[in-house]
Amino acid sequence: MESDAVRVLSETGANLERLETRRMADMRYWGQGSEIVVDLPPGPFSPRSAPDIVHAFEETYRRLFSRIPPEVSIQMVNLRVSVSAPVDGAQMRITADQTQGQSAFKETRPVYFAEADGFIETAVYDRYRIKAGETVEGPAVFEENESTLVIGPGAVCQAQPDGSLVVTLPEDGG
Amino acid sequence: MSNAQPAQAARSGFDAATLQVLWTRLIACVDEAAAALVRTSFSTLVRESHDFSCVITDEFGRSLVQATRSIPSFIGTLPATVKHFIREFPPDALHPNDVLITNDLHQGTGHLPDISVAKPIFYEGRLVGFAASTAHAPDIGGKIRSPEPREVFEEGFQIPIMKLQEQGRTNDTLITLLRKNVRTPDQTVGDLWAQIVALDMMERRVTALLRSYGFTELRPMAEEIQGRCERAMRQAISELPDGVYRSALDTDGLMDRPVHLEMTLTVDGDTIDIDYAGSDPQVDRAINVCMCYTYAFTVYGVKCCTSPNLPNNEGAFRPITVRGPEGCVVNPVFPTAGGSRMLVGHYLPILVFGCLGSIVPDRVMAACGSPMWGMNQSGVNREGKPYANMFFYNGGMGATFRRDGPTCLSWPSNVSSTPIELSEQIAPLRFKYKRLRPDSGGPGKFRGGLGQEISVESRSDSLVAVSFLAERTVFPALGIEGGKPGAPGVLKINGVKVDPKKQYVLKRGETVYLGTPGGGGHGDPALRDPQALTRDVTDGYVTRRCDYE
Repeated sequence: MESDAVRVLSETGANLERLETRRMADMRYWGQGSEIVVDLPPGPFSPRSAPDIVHAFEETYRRLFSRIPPEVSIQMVNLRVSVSAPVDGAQMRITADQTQGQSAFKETRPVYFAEADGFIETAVYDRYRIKAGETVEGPAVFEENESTLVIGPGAVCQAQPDGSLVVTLPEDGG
Repeated sequence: MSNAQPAQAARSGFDAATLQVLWTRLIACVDEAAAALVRTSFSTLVRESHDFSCVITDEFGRSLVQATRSIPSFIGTLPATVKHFIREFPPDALHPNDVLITNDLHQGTGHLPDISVAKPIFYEGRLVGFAASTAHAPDIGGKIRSPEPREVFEEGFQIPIMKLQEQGRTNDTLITLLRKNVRTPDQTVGDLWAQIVALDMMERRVTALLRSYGFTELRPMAEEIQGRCERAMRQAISELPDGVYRSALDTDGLMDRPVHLEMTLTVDGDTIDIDYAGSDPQVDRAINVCMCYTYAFTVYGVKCCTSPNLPNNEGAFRPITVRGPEGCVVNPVFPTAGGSRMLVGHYLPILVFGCLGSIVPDRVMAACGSPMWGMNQSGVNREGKPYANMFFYNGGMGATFRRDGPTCLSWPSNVSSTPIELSEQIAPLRFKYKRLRPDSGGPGKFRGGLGQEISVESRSDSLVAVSFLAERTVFPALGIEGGKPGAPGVLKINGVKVDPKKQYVLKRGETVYLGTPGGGGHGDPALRDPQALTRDVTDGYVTRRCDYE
């Protein structure tokens, strides 16, 4: 399975020097109707690997379901292998700079905030014109084509180089 | 939520939006726990038929929310079981990581295979509520499930209210005894563990919810949710005209002796009282219905007619009282057997419809081909190990004033039919067919749903003991408003009609035929839309066009 997977990757033109391999098994207790995917220890496997595989299953099961049932045997239903390697030049980069030198500020208008129990005169920004690193304190509204971001009083918003907006909420949960 | 007034919301300290978010999150807690139970279970009863429920209650055992696919009987019984747990183990006798357990007939669900467990939820050292679950075990020992037992002692292993885990330590003596007493120790104990997985999940999610909102207890939220549902239910009941309404019906019962059921329903302002006086005394077979189960299916019927969309919790049921004379078939006394109590219990909501049909005809349906049918088989497999399985089958539902009854659907218990593919894989059986049963739907302007017919052959070299859940073989599901009854059910072994209340043994090559009953029709059959009738004939649902003349 693994050599098949590597061949496909190599034909795709992936960088095999940075190959990562994961061996997994769909496992369950004998008689159950659902499996869980368990990361197996590295091969090659022999009868001596059984305790490690059982351990890996029990740990995964415990993490998902908090406890394991007593006195039941374990079954492997499927084996999986996942081989991955990056393709050169696949790194995408988004740039945030659509500002064209304009200010992002559009206007102010009254906006209702439940925590303030009323309307507050609030600044409205064009999300596409926020400069990377620019910081805006709430209350504020950021308008974009698909969505609108509203941040309440006390929150702070900072634009990232990739165009993301990171909002830090005030400590009191407002 | 629908009739929540903003003014009430303001008084309670929960604004409507926050409450809706909290409520939805609670539902997500129980639904996630239900999913974990399904994924970790060992039996088809849980996995395929969803014969289980998960509930969160407040610290007094008052239900708050239950898993979306919970079956109606457990919605009613499980909170009562938690209250019994609390009576036996008051808060000062409870510790974190305790798990309580019982399958007591009267304190549980009315029959032994349903094992109920609950775990107290502690938050910051304080008892805030309970996570609880009931699931139908694949086997609980005793005579295999049939209406034949006369006393509970014949029905299997009884677990009085006790601690399955004490501060995280499992009671191994109980587990050892349980394993020894059931035919399917791995499955029965495995499913019990799956239930505890669900309890853990509810506990973790509820405490995370409390933490993220900075709450110290569940009660204010519980009281708000219960209070809203109670007000909504009272409002719905007040809209019904006051009065005393009666209905009665007969069930197949013990074949030679039908069981007579009577209900008196009193609407008085914003309350409903239901009394089963006049019903037959309890019988010496396992079809008596303990009050816990009687209550569950009675309030379910009321809810269907009054406010079906209201979430189920303690509040919604507060305005309703249910009673019956001690020692009657729907309130039997020790040492009654109850293994097949749904053979009577599933009729109870239809009695409610009989009472309320005259005042809210648009909210009731004709009788259904219920109680659901089932075939229990047990024996020894090729490896010499004992096995036991219960496969469920359903009849057709009754028609309503606006549509045909659905075909082969479980009502009032939403337990799904067991697929053939799975049955053949786990039991030494071959299914010849499982198909819709023509002409079984009661004729009417709107037709009753069809039942199904199943023919199955034993492929086992050893003997297979079979017993059945089979009703309405004598009294069909009646139509209403001029609709005709559905076809009664039929049970045959090797082509010969047999008493469905007895146990049989199959040799290799012998066959069982089950024909589940159809639902009753609604309205005069002559008024049926000709196009709908032609479609029924084309589809093979109806072969006797003359039924509609």
